[in-house]
Amino acid sequence: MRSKVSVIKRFVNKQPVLLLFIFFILLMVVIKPTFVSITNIKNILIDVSIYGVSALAMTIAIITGAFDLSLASNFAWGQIFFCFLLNAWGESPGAMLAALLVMLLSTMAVGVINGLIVVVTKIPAFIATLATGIILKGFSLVFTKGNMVSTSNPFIKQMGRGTFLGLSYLTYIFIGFVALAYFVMTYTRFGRGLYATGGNMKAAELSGINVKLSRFSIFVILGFAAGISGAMFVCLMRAGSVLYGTDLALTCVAATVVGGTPLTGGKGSVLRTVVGILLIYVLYKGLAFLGLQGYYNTMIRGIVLLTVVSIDAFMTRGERW
Amino acid sequence: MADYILEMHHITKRFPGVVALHDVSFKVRRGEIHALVGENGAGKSTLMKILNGVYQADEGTIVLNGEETIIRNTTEAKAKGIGLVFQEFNLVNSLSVAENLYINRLPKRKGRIDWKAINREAQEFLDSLGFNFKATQKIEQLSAAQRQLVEIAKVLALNNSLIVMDEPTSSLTTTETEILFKLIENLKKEGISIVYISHKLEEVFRLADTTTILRDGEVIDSAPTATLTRDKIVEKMVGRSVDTEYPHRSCELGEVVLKVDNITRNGLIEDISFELRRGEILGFAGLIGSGRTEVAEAIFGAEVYHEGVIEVGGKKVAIHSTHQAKDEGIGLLTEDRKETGLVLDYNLIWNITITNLNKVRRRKFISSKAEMQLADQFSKELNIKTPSLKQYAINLSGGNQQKVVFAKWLFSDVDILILDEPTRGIDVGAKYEIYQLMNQLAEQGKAIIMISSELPEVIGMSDRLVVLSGGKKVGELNREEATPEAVMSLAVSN
Repeated sequence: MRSKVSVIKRFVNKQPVLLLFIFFILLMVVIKPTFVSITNIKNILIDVSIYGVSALAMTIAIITGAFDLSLASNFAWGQIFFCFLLNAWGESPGAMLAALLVMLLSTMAVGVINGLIVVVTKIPAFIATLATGIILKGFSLVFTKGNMVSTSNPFIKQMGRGTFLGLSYLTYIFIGFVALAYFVMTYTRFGRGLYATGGNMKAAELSGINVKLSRFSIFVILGFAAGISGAMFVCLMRAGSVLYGTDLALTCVAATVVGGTPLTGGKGSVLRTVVGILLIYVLYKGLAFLGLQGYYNTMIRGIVLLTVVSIDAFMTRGERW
Repeated sequence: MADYILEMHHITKRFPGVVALHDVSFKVRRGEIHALVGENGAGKSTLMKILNGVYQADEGTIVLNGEETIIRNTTEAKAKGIGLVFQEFNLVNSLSVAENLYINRLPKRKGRIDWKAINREAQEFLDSLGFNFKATQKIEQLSAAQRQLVEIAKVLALNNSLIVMDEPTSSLTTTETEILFKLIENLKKEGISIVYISHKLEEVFRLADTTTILRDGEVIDSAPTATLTRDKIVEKMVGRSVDTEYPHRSCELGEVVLKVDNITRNGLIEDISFELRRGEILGFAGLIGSGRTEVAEAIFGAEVYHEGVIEVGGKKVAIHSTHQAKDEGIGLLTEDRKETGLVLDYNLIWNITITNLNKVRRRKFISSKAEMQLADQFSKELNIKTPSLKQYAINLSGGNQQKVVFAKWLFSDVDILILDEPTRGIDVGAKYEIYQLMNQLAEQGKAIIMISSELPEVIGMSDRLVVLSGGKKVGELNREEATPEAVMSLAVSN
């Protein structure tokens, strides 16, 4: 019997966030059973999926010891440019695919610029991406003259609305990327190189790991993820705007941290971030469901972040930090 | 006044799963230099940490100046006049030497810190110790050796009656070591007692009045140093007799695998040329700062070189990065295993396989099973002592950490290995194992460059010696020519 007890004990000690998540769901089931309706779950998962793809990339970046503050601007640019291209190029499958690819190339180009600045000039990622983020936001404003760009592309609409087995298509896209990210980080030399770079950059370099490549490619991955998130967002909203998703970068960091990946780099896992972002959204939506007004929402987000991280720090006796 | 300044009686300390110290009694006379020797893990550090209040003994008593006493924490230890000089630096790098010396007691005048007075007093103090750097210099501008001296000055500034020095010379050059030894002898004359922990037995014989030998948490012997011999001490430390300090090797040298021609790094090294053969151990001797590490960094692609040609296996190569160097079959064991050799909070498996993940791929992807098996095989081959391969590198002793660094480079299958200070800060037993390993590797046809500040070691192990001084190659000696005197006179020639 001892083993069973210790398994539970270990679980409580090691996965407090997952436990908190389960606990909150159970609580909602008791207080407000309608919270766990199919529609509500589907909707929460759509939000989780759109930001989740970027959160995966941010987690990988943090594991590598990097950071991207331009993510939100890149995400917004992705939406805007995608809508623009969809409108310009028409509704044939080829045109839509081309629009997606060109948009992704543009968001990845932002990543390339970020990566070059960070690797070549050695300016800290925090500062470099803060600056490029502002520039890109300004560029988007110029490009749209501050207006929202919308699209009425029927396929895009279908992507945003369609479901399979009760879940949105967007959620399956997210699940696909979770699997991909987990696989790359666990089973490839590239992923291991990222871990080593974040764990001890000097030691990694002196072990013959190409740390420049690691540090550069992470920004391209971030750009790619921002583009994918942007496209998913367009599917849902059928519009793009500089004003959409300004909280993306920090929400992604919050999901990473709540999940239990330390900001110091070298450790953590994308799966933890999935739990992190699920918990964040379930709490947001749950509190809204219980009747908290919209304006309180932002405040609640901050409190949620602090509470979860504190509980986690307490349960693991700060070992994770 | 009691004869003994410090008596530790029947000290026992248990950690979960291990008895670190068992019934250890340790007495230091007033005004003597008392050497404490033993392999890593023998219990020296634990004993000193009990003295310093970091740990509490489970059993036993501490008597200071004839009075039984309890030391609960480091502040109490300080208040009782016990000073400790650690290997690790506890200095604030962005502050000046003077600020570091006076950090807890900055003198004030009219409510403000009197910088002039501090700098003047600090400088006078440094001069009186014979240290040749400025009190106003920032710590980050100092070399590792100078930092160690600052660390020592910090303790001396406190007027302690008992000073513990843990491997104080491990990062010092010969000149600075001399300064330190004079200082220690002066302290002794002033009646201050010193506990001197060192792996370097020459130092023990030079300085210590009494030597206590620990092994596996027990005192094996404690006797006047004059009654002991080097072999006796080593035998007691490792619990077996060690025949020769440097194991013998006989093997054929093969073809030239590495040829370095006039490598220059502006301002650091100039026109360095040498050849390295298969099966050879080539020693790099010279003082700290003579450019040995800088040559290694250039060959390994860790730093750029501005002029010169490197040939590997008869083929000209342009090495711009470490991964390129690795692909050419060159590996570098850095001199600082903690900072640049290991990822300390990764387990042994990840640390070992990092240099060659291709070997642990099955159908193109990393297999944790294959990783586990290979890491296990390498750790057994190198006799790495660890409860589990999942253990974090940070939890291993220095000798075992160094073996992990070796394992990682053996794992990479490179043919040319550059070893920068491969035995720094590790105990006699582990050193001998590393020497044997080096010989084995040479016999298997690897080519080795060994950089070492320990003259006997680099002379004893090398087939040939390159001596550097002031960034230039000042000589090349074969085994017969390489006497300590010959090497030293070259090393200081430029």
